[in-house]
Amino acid sequence: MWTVFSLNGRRYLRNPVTLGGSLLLFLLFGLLSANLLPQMPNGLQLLGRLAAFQPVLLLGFLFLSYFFVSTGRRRQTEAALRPLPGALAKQLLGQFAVLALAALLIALSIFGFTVWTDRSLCRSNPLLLWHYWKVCCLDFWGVSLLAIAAGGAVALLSQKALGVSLLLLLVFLFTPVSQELAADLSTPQANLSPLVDLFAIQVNSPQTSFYLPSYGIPNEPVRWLRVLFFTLLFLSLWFWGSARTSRLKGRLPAFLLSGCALLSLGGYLGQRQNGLYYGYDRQRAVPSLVSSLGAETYSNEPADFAVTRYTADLTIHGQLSATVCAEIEGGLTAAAYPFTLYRGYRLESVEDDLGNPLPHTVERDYLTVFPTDSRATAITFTYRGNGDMFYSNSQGVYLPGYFPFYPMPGKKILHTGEGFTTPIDARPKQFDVTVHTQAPNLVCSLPSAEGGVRFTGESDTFSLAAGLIQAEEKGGITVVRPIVGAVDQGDTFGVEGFPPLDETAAARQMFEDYQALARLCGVEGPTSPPATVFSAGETLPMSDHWYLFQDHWRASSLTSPRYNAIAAFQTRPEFLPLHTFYGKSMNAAQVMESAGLRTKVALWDNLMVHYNRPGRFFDAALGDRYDPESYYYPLLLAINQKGEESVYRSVYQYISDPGDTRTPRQLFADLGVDLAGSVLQPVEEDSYAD
Amino acid sequence: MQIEVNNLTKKFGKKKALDGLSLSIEEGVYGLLGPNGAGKTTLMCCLLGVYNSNGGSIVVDGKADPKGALLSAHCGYLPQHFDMFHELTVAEALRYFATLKKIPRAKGAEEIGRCLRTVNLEEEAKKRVGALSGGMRRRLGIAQALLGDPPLLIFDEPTAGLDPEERMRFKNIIAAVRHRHTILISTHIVDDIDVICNRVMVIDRGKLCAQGTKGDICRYADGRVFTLPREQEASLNRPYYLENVFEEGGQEHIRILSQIPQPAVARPAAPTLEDGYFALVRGEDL
Repeated sequence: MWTVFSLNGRRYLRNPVTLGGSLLLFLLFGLLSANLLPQMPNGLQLLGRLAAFQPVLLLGFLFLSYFFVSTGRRRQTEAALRPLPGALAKQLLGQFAVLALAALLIALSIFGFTVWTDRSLCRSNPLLLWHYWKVCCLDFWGVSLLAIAAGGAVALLSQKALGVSLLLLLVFLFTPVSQELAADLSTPQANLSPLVDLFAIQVNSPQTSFYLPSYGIPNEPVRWLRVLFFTLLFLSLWFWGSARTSRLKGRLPAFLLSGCALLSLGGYLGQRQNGLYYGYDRQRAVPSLVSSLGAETYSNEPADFAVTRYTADLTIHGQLSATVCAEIEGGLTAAAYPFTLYRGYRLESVEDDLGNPLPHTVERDYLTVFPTDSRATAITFTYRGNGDMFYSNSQGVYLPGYFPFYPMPGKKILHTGEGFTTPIDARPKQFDVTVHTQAPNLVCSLPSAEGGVRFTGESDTFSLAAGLIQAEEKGGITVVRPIVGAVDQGDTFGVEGFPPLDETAAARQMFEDYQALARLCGVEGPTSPPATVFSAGETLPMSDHWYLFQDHWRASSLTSPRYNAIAAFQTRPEFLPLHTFYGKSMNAAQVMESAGLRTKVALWDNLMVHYNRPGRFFDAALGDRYDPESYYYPLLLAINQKGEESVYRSVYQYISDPGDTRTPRQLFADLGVDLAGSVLQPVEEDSYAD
Repeated sequence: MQIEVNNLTKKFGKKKALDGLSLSIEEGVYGLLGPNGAGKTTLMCCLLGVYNSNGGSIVVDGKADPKGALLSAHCGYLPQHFDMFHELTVAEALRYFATLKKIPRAKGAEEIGRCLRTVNLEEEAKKRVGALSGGMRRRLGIAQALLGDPPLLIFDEPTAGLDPEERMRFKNIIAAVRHRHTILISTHIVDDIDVICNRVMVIDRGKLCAQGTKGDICRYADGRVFTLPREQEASLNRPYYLENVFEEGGQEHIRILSQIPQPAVARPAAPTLEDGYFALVRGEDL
């Protein structure tokens, strides 16, 4: 067999087409890697960029394989080999091995560049090295093997003109072209994308090319299965092509093609319910999903009941499967209990602790449960699904405590138009959480009670993270962060970017800034920096802000400290009115109706500019003196006359009290501020009218 | 090696390529004559197990060989259209075949040298296959068939497309190896059979028309072969088959095959192998 392999190798190297084609591919990826390497801060970014060129590998090896195998056919070599038992199969195997080796060399060069970029990290983190190797195997070598198998199959089974047509068809199916076309032809009533999902082997789409530091490059089982399925399918055609004439031989291609078509159709009808369709594979849909979530208009409604304890059993493989029991304070005596659970999770059952199935309604992210027995004290929810950008599968987990991946009391806005970090039910609860997953490095905000599987503790919520992350103590704070480090958003078009995050320093700075703001507003903040900071996990298209839970903090990779303190401060429950307003598009009637709230938000936002960027505040105050929509100048006057604390406290109480219907002029008047020279100065006819 | 083919049938769809064909092969050089589409290649492929037959049996040395495993393991085969990867040298190409024929590596080099000498390609051993002429490539094909010294050699149309010199070389090669192998040569060129083979089988439309020595085949045309000047053709009694046109004494003559009496101007001629062949395959038309 070695002789067959080596002689086919000589053949490969002596033919100008195969040698030239392979060298071209090798040089292309080598030059790309070398050029990108100094620009990329870590191997994940490098791999993410190179993965966009995966279709080039697919195309290249598709045609190289077709040429290499069909040359053998054209030379009529097979005729002399057919009588020899197994000879043709050995020849084909030798050809495949030569092509596979050429593809492996290219994949190894990419792997080498990637590891070199993160060489010290790879030495200390075998998980990262393994991840890079898996990505290279799947997205470069695996895809090349598929192309080799496909091109050879076409060469063996078809004549020249038909062969070229089939090659073009394969190019159409296995590159993003088919997915783009299916997406464009789809309607809300008929989604055609699942029909071509079976062929979706690329990790990137033409529009979206990204990586997530905590998640890495997606290489879920679904893509492995697709690549393996088609490679084996086409290889079976290779060996069918070498088989002797038989009744089966004539019908095997039809069986195989029918099988493929059925699988694809099954995916369409099953709407991604079967085992092939799971994982974080919605990169293309996430930006539009986030936009549409932010555009929805509905209000926060805090719960008028309290959950005292959650007992959760979570299984995370391809998706999240959960059984969550919520114990209600005082029992199920009310007529209805509203909860928030992300719409991506499908409820399978809702029962009380007496075993009664409970009627319930589900609308978007809100589910309302109607108890049937007032003796019951708890509700058990069983559900499964995906949180989309809040991923949970065997590669990684990012389920932060502000995201309703378990039923949260009340109705909570999911996305304000600016971010997901809206207020949660802040009452303390007991949590008993068991997690079954193969995702590596699982970390929970709750203390571990049982070998890294069970976590218990008291908090307002809990967070889960897993994947390419590590937990390390820095300066007395345990930081859970991506192995490769936080996003380093460099300068773009001359605009200063954000430097890499030092979570410990940022946490201490955040603590100080938050404390300062809390003190100004006359409320209490955290008494000390947290024991644990989660800097792992990302949402798209932008990273959410800091969130200060009772026992852990969620850190943002954006490092404008004072703004993050403001954003975190605004996740307090009293800022619900603000989150019902932020980012919502309203019609004229709603604008008129919410004039009071709109005014309050504008006043608070202007004051926060004073806290975050005093220089800009002063410029705005002096430049917008006569703008009736701007409160910078009146605030400046108020601060100069009454002091920061007084103004901050007043405005904070103004915005956090829904019953306070005063106008800003009345507010400043009550504060005793002389507003002469501002648009809010009193007029003789109507002292308290806007 | 003794091969018995009994009532062999092979269909491709509705078309019967072999229709109850029976023949036997023992030692010697056998010529398989037949027109295009007679089933010569199909017969060879059935013998070698490339095709599965739809009926009948093949017995090799008393053992049934339904899938051609026995024959293919002890046979060297030169297909009708033979070529090899042009990027390999002659020696490398033979090494390729030697490996696939499971010839031990230690013996391979010696065997390759022997075969190259037999076909007179020793000096071309380091030349790439792509640089060889058509005749040289055909000799390379013979060389790969000789690898492993198989008892049976099957050549499918070995001289098709070759110039006279190469055809002569082929005949010399056969002459050199005939004593060590049983050889089956299929062709539609009667001249090649005439010189090389000592037994002839004529098949047509999937059936065996005749099997025997050259003399036996010739006898099928006894009394049926006539020659006459071309200009006298109109006087002939139909039906007849025009075999050949040739020049003799400065005049154009024709050679015909006919079962019915012909006028005196048509002189009887001694039948040749070709006449016997045409008598067998054109018999129905006469």
